[in-house]
Amino acid sequence: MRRTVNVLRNALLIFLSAVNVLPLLWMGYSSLKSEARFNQDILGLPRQIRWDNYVKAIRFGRLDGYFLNSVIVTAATVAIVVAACFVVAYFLARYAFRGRNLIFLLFVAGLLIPIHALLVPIFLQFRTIGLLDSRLGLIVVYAAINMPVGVFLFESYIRTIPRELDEAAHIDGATTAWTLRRVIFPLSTPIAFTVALLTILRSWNEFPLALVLIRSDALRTLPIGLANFQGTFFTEFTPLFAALVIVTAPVLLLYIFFNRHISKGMVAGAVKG
Amino acid sequence: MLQRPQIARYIGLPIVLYLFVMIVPMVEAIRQSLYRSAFIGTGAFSGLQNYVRLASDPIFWRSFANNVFIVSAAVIGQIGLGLLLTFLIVAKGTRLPEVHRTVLFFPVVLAPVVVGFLWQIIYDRYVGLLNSFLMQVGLEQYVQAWLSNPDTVMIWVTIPIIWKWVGLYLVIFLSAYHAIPREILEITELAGANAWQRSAYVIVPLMRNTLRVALVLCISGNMKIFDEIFVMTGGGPARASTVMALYAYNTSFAAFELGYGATISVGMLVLTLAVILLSRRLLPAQDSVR
Repeated sequence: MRRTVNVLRNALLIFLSAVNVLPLLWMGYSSLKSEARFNQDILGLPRQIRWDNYVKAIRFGRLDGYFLNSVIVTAATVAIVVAACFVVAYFLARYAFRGRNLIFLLFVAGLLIPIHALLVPIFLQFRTIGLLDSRLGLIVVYAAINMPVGVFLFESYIRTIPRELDEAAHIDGATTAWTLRRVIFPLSTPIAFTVALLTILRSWNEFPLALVLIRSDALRTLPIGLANFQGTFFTEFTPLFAALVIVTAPVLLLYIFFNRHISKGMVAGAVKG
Repeated sequence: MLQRPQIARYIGLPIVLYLFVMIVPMVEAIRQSLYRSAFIGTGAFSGLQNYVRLASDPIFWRSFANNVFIVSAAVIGQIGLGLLLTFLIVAKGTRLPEVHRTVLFFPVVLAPVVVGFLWQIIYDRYVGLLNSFLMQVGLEQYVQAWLSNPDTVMIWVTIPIIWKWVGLYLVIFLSAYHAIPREILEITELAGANAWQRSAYVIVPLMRNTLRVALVLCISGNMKIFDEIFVMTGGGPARASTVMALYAYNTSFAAFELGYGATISVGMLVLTLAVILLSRRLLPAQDSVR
């Protein structure tokens, strides 16, 4: 009886996991088929590996340019988020200053506000000050939407670093800036890494803000480029699969290498929020 | 130690940036909702007129009902299935639990736009994975254009959303399960409780606070759902799969009614908070045990 239950449970779990990855596998191997072969046999594996879908996707879908834009926007966002969240969290964790609770409250509010509710007002505000259709505008917005989770993760981590270290540095005559850079930040690298990973995922995958704030083709990020892709290839599916793989591969690789960091960070971010 | 002005020197810039992007627009959205729509400049002040219009706007309530449908399905599909998977994975005798956890989490890291495109192809009438599979197993009578029927489209757009996020709930529940003291689990086992009894009467009650968090996450996440539906159906056919965020977007950026679009956004925020509060009433916090 026990054994049967065990076998059934394992079988059920394997079935569920298999069904779960099937769409991804299908996307992956279909991107390597020719269009003719795909139309002939939708489920079958490719007979010969065809990379020309990727060439097509990049050349006609201009994915190389969008890819570069995504890299630039994501990298800049990560740099700002890590630096800004670290500094803000340090002062929230170490000092009881007036306005501290208000700042906390504002970050909690940031977790609750659905970003879609802000599309129109951000659009209008950015139009007024001329940040529409610019990389800088997008980076500023991405940095801000990633700040609440980053601040909370850094704050609870810095609390675990003994205060004596700051005080010792202070007595030795170190400035606050030096202590932050040379003492506290090096000790916070594990959480900095987690914050960086979460920020990469969110910025790389973000769609509605980029859709509203970016107009010119030269500045589009991958998700927007993808949304326009269909118009270019409305009858061909295999280049579309290749495009989906190009967008997905970086985040999937990141997840494969750092899956513990990413899932732990997401749990902590969700539970703290 | 530092004085206030010095602290402000360090955190001033990040805080200003944050206020500028998140808080000012929120206030601005509420202000905009009190004006007549105008694309250039601001229209005339109209008081609560936009809200009166919203309250009797059938498309808005239809969108809200669709959001509620997705939330309800997700409570079962994301939280329920997430719990079930947790129990399957932590049970003794389950092989390779780490592999299952990793594999089930894959879709969480995908871009929602990619999920939308992928499932649009899966549902395709001619080249879709679903129809090909049905043909293979001899169920030709069910072959159809899955996203074209207004009566059933909500079911089919909800499945990819559940698929994308169930892995997140799984890892949340797994970490809550591993936080339960081992002794408690051992004692219940010694007392002769079977797996079902332990899950229902010991583990789930001990995970109650985590379940509350998961519920809030599930509601707020699905009340603002946008990307997947934008890509899969664009809200169609005939608005059958429109959700609040999509309606707000179309009103603002396709019909250029920015004031009314802001009103829809505020309505969306208020309704989301209302549903969250209601859910917290239904599942009160647990103050004992841990």
